[in-house]
Amino acid sequence: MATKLYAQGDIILERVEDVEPNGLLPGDADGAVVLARGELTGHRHAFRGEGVTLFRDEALARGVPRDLYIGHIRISGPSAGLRHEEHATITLPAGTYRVRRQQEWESGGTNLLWE
Amino acid sequence: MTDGIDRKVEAILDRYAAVDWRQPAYDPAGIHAVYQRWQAVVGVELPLRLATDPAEVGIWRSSNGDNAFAATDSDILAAAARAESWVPRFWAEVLAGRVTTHQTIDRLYPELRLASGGALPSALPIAWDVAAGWATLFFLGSLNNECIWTEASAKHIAAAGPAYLRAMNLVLPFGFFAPWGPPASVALGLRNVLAACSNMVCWRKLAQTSISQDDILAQQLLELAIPAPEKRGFPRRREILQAIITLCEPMLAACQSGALAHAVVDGELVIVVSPSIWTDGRRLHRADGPAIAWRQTKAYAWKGVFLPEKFVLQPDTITREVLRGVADARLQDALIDVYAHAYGHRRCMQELGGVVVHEDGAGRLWCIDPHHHQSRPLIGDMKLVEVVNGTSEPDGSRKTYWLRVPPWMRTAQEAVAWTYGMTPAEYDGLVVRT
Repeated sequence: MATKLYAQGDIILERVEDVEPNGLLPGDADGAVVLARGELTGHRHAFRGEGVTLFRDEALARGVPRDLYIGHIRISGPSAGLRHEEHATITLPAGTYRVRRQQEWESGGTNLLWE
Repeated sequence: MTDGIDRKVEAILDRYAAVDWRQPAYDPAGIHAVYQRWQAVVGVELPLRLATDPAEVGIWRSSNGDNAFAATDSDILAAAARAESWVPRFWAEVLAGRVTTHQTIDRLYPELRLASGGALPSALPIAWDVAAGWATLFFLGSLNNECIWTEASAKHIAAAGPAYLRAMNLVLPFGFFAPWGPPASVALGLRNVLAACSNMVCWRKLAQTSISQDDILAQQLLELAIPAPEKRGFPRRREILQAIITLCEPMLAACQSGALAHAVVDGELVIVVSPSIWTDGRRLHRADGPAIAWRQTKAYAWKGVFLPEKFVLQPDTITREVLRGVADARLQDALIDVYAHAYGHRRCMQELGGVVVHEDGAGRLWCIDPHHHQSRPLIGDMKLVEVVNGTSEPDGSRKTYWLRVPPWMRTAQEAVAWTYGMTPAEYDGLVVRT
């Protein structure tokens, strides 16, 4: 059965096996756990705390193109809402997810997308 | 770091980080003063002349006479050998400089990433590549000119003692002419060498430089007809770092004052000021004007590809016929991108020969086919996938996103999956998309 995926704009989350978080990443000053931020707009793909831990462990990113790997999140509560100014909120059930960003093709290589 | 030399190193690194290479300073008095100081360091004494535009200096000529750029990397690299063509040489120098510098750092300082977590960045910022590339181009604008002062300078340096020679040995990997190179190039080398020397793992490695590297230096000095001086004992770290700073700091000051490049022209040391530069964060890029601009000379670029001015400022001049006449894929992509930016992708597809080659639940896969091979789009043709946003706008409509995908994509799902670095099978597990 295919891994469950949740896509919000240029971010996609894959449900993976639970692991102990390693390489914790800090949240923003307002307490939000931010997966990605738009370079031009400043819009954020973010959780508002809600028992969400963001970490980055390269050992868990094998199989993901290197530049696309953002990190992992663990949702400890029953669920958490991933919010963004231009997209509907996605409610994710408890568990661990691997997060990656989107890319675009350019002749001579790829370009990472920053919404 | 408590030693006085380490404070000097920190100050240099702070000054480097503070230079605004995009909108550089314009300080003619400062430029004059620093070049007087620099001439004393390298042992040259020439009258100075400041040029506010490369057009004022006769040795640099554009390939087509109107300062318009129409070539891309592949053309430029292929034409790099033509001395009269400064556009191809510029880009070749940028690429060569970037590759050389990266390789040098990787070769000299592999322990750095393991030991320190990065006193040196693993990837150098494009900003300095651009500035150094431009400045390197001007520096090499005339081979005859560079011989006049590098010989004098090399003798001056060699006479200054073992600390200077050891310092030279450290900056040499950044180019044999490193201390006499253009300001941005030298400042970059200075910054990287000092940052590395601040890491004791790297310093120990550098201090144990093998005899063979000293032999290389000796050989280079012999080529300049300079006898290698006797080694009078290994200089200390403090002396070597001070020698590096003395040699190279004036070029950092030149960057701070707004100098881009210098060369000897008809007995004068001509200094060209830095242009304003626009990027998209990674590459030369500007949608509403030149990406590189002096008072008169301007260059237009789109995502790192140089384009003639008319295509950037008048995108309606981009037609199917224009695309058919372009052999280079990067240039073609840039032109399509410019058109889409100006008029939207829908009109771009209509006007420039776009066809839908596949459609499924993930979206529509388009191919730009200016030659009308509608039944068999060429594998190399540019492809985009059209995706409708999963979230409605307040008025009930939905935004459409157009994403460039590799030319070998065959279905819309394959293309969308690729944008997330997935296979179509992996993407099958999509639960929700907003």
